[in-house]
Amino acid sequence: MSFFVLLTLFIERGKNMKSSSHAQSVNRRRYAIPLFLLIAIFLMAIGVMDAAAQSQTAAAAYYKDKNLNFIVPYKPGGGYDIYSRILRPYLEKHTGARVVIRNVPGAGGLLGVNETYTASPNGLTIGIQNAVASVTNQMSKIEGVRYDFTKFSWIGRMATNVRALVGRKGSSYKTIQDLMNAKEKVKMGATGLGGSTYVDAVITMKALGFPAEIIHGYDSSKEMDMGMLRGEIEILWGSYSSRRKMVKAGEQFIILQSGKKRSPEIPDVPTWFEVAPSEHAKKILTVLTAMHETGRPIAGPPDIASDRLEFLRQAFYKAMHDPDFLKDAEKAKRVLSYLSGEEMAQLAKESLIIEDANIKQLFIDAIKGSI
Amino acid sequence: MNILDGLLQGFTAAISLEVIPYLIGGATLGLIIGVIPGLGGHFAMAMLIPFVFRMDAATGVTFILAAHAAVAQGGGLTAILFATPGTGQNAATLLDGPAMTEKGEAGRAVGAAMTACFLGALFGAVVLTVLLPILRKVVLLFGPPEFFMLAVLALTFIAVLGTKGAINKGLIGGALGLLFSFVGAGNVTGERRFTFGLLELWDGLSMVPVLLGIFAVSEMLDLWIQGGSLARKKTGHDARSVQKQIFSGVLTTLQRWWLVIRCSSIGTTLGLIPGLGSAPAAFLAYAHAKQTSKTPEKFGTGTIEGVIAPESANDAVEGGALASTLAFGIPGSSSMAILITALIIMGVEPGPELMTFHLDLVFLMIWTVILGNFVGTILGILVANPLARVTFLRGSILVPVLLAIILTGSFVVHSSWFDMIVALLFGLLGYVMKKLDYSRPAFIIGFVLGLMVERNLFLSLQLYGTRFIFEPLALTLMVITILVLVYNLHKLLRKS
Repeated sequence: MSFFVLLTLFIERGKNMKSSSHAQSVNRRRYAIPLFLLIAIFLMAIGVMDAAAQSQTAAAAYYKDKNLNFIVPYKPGGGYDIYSRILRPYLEKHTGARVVIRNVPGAGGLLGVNETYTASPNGLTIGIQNAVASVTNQMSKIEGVRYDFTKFSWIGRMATNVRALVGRKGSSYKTIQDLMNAKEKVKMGATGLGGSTYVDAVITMKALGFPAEIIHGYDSSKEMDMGMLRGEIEILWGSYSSRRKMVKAGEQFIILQSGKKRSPEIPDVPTWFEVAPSEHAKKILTVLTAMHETGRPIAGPPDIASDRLEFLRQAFYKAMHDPDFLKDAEKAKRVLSYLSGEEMAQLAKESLIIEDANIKQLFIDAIKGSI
Repeated sequence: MNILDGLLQGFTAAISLEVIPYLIGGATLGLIIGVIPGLGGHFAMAMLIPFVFRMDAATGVTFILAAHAAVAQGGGLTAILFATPGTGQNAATLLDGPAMTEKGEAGRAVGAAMTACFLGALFGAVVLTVLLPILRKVVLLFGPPEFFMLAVLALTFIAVLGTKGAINKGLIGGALGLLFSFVGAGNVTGERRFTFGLLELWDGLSMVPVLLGIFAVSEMLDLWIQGGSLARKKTGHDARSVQKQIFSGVLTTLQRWWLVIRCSSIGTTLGLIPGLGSAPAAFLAYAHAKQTSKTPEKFGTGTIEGVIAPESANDAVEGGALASTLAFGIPGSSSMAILITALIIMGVEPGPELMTFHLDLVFLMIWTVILGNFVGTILGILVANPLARVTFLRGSILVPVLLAIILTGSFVVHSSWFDMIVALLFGLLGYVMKKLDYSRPAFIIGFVLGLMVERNLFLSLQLYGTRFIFEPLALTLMVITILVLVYNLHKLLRKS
């Protein structure tokens, strides 16, 4: 196509040259070279775009009717699984492939993430992951990590984690000030050591400086909810989307939220930055915020051919902005926060850098459960 | 709206023309999923999630809950006819079901199992309805100390599970199960135990491949080595006598109503424990039936009580699991978690307001549990006849086919090759245990309860220190535990 455009333009140029007067042609000569350059650049640009479009159609043809494996590193029915199952039909629509969801639970999600990373980079295996867990696992260098978080082929992010510190209905600790002024240790629930409810609990306790006793070992956030209903624990950290239900039911109330800016969903709740008592605390919380920012991204193994990766990124963009998809996500009360593959790749690099050695040690200790 | 109104409205909604096709469709699908080894109720529900987006709450809830309800019937069929648990919850049925098939009583066993399933579900639903006004209080009665004591009480049942009265072989089986339950990264310390550097072991051994190995693969090995067919006796396999047997099975179960009620209440109580699932309830009901039977020595040789007990318990569990789901919107099992997601998608907020504003929906759920099970039972009885004939095939034909299905089943849950190897290894272990009369049910009870005992003990100690045993309900459970132990010891001493 570009060749044809080039040809017609040259013919047009020739015609103009003949018909123009001498004075004009002197004038024309003065502009001829820059004009020619401009046209050449324009044509090259068209050529490049054309080649890109062609490789895009090549990628589209490649994906047509193929099986696109989508690894979910948790069991069916969890949050990551639901996000993936809602996305699936729209990813199919915009890639033309059959998207096959494979639940690969194990080792707290590590098994599935490893499998995504070590899959063949033919572009036919991608997966969602709990990026906070991926980052913390790599940072604390636990055995079994077979991936480099910065090297995934990032396709994009579905959602971030807005975290919420909630209190028990009827608890005497109503605000973060109450907690910071508490005379005795407040019972704070957590699941397993090193899990995100535990890491958030330990880090905020240290950064904000309130006395707490962490009751850990609950099997899931559901069991913690029951524990809170029975009055075993006073406060706990969880993702906002998982807390929403209990808060709406009036059994829990939100004391604090993560991040630098208040989430539009809960505009009346202070962020942890707003209540940070010192610069050091702010530094610690900056790191924790950056981790949660990585949220729920989708990625493939490293070195997926660039045209296929680009195609997947575009398909993901279209799926995430499909009006029907947005409706479905709204129905399932899943909060979305799209981020492009390029931006996610940048975020992945930043999330692993902790400059302050003491803060880094604090995080490693929290993740390993040695605090 | 009062409860009686709700009851009526729920029923009319369930049998309305818009809803009933989904009820039957869901139950049929559930039955098929149940028949396939390894695939269980939560798989059936997760598969249906994409469909509920375009449904209203009544049809959607009926659809997925009916699918979940009929899974046990499908699993029971596979357990009895092919010595393979269709789902984890049917594993206990393997103790006497296949033995009945072997004796040429497959029809009778199926009739009993299907009826017991329905009656169990009915019991669970009735208890739930009765408790509805005080549901929140009942659910909150159980915390870590109570769960701990309940698990300890359950563990004492191991003592009666020794085959042929050999108590030590029961205890060894149970201890072995406990040992295997501790594989993996403990929730309490995060320490990785017995993982041998294998990532696949971090979350512990998964239940389905272990169950399939211990019970199904081992049976296949046995059949292969012994030769013959699953039904050893060559009579009673024409359609007519199977039909007769089914009716006799249904009748026998109805006559044993007291046993059904006792086993169902075990199921419903254990359903209150989050995340426990129905497999342990079925085994405990089996142990209870054996303990209270006048002829305990017949258990394991194909007695009909050994089929009725577990099958009534495993479906009664749903009543208990539904309790915390309805009362607080907190799911009692992985299946209930999926139900809650479906409810949210369809615009209903589970939780307290469900009981206040959507009482009709609550009763629709309860009715779906009952009617879905009813449809499952009828369908199960209908397909039993043609399926029963397969059991007369030679082992050399049947074993390769079934083994392939069993191994696929162990693979498919987590799409993991590792689980397939686990099933094979535990198959060998199960075969050895069977041949040497070590109790496999005791093994499973230990395996399922080990972590639960540990976690709840640790939480109780963190929360209350050692005085947690004096919490009223925990104390009551401890007294019951001691009484059960004393009773068993007394019985044992009197015998010797």
